Amino acid sequence: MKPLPKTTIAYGGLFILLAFVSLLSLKAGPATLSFGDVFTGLFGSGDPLLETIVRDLRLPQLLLGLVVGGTLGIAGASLQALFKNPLAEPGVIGVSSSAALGAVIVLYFGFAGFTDIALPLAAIGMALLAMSLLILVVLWDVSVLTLILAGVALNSFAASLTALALNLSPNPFAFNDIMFWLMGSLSNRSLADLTLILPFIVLGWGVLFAATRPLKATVLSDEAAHSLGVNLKLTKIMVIIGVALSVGASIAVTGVIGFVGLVAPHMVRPLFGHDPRSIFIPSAMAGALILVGADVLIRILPHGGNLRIGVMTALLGAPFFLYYVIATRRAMR
Amino acid sequence: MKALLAISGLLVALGAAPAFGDGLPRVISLDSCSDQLVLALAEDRQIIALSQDSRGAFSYYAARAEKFPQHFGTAEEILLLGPDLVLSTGAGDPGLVTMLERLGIRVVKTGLPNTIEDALDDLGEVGAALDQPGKAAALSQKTEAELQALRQKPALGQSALYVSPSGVTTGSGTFLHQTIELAGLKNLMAEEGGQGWSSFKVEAFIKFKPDILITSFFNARIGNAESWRFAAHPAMQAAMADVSVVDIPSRYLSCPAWYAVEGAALIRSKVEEGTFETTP
Repeated sequence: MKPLPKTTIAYGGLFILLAFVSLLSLKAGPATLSFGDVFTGLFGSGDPLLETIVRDLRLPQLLLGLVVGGTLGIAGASLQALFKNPLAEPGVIGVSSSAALGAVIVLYFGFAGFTDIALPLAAIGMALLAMSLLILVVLWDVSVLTLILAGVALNSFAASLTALALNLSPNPFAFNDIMFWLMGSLSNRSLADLTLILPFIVLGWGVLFAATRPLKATVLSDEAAHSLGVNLKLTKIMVIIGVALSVGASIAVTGVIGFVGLVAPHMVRPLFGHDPRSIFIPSAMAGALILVGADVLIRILPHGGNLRIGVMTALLGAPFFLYYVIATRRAMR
Repeated sequence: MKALLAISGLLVALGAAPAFGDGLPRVISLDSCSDQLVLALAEDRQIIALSQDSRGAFSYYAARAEKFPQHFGTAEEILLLGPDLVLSTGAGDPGLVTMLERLGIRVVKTGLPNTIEDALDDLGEVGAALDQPGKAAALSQKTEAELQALRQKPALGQSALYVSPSGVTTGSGTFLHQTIELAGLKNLMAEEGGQGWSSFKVEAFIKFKPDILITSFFNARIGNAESWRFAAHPAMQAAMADVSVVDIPSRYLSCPAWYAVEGAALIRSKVEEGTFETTP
């Protein structure tokens, strides 16, 4: 019998891990449930409390974790390919901080209390505005360096406006609310939240997937890709739009979650290679694995309720990343 | 069934109050300012859980809050505790209230008032929701009497400026402006046309130079690196030489609540007695 290809085994392993963590996510929480309870809760039992806990509270949280984690993984992989820089992640082009700024404005002025969709709309709107500025930059100068520097500028601008809102918060609670929101959370989110952002996210995924083919051609150099007929401007614009749509919409509901976009592509490259297209889905799976895993840990740890998911992903991701950097230091030179 | 057993075990673990037959609604408060309303009005047996901020230095009823459990603000936890009603002033996770309402839990939302009179209206509303209208009315009457007493006192005439550790000050239109005026002082920011909350400027301080600097929240330890940075400025220190500093414990000022009247009385008595802070 022919041995299974390495990638098939890797896909299988990722899938099993993801399924296991997803089950744990449905099981862990304030109410102690067995796996049996989880299944009865999911597929109908006549016990309304159990059904509410599993279907209305834990399932949306799991699905949001899978979708947002996947988005961050994909966005990280696309940006690392575009910038040919292993340190790139959604924060780099200023999308995260712009989306966060939109949300903070809504929180600061108290608009969040008026309508549920004020927060996501403001976050997506700000991400799109920042993205339009970046596209203008790309149209003017196609260089990757200019794009990174423009991203850094946008990032600083949005971060300083966010800091201004924090500075002017009238009391410690307004300050805390904004700080906590910025640290990210998956809890208290419903299927309605997910439905609201899903169209933007799926559209973003589609654009990013379409960009993987030209991105693959740029792996060697932009000149080589150009000689192969790749439109570099269009590729960059596609990645910017894709990241802004999917990450902007994610941040709108969960707050800022760092490190997932940076780490996920690195986790899967040793198994799936460096082709942006072949690591597209594995990066999404790894991102989802990290985010849902971090969420489970928050719920399992004693006093974990005080921990925010953005803090947890960084706590988990940073040591891993440090190990990865040391382990692969030769290849990175 | 096993799940239900586990859930009831959790309720005991969280210290949920058993249901009493007196029909009084049992309540969970979601944020620090709603904690104060609950702690002011509810009987012990009505309070299931309070927010994580309920025992903080800036909680007016911190001492009473000690005996009640605290929650982490997740919908599942609150659902399991089975409250008759949940109280929110709109702070905290904006998704939580939406989720609780979706789950069919009654949420009473008061918002944060801008005047002490509006705070008294909220007190009445929450008193009715908690089935404690008598307590709410008594507290309202007491506050109204204190308000009257303060208003009948002659104005002190000095000008004052409020500042928090992060350098926030207030113009007109906030409960803190009302507190400063109730203390018999003139709010310099409002006199200069300032409205709402704004950023404190050393330059403005030196230019307008108030007689009194009112400070608060410096005991709150909210991790603000900017704390008192402006006070270290040589120009500010020179200007501070003939400015008196009145520090008010943050428990009086952290929520726009009826007890801001007590804060105003405290500011007034400190100014009258000349009990000022030696150094900011």
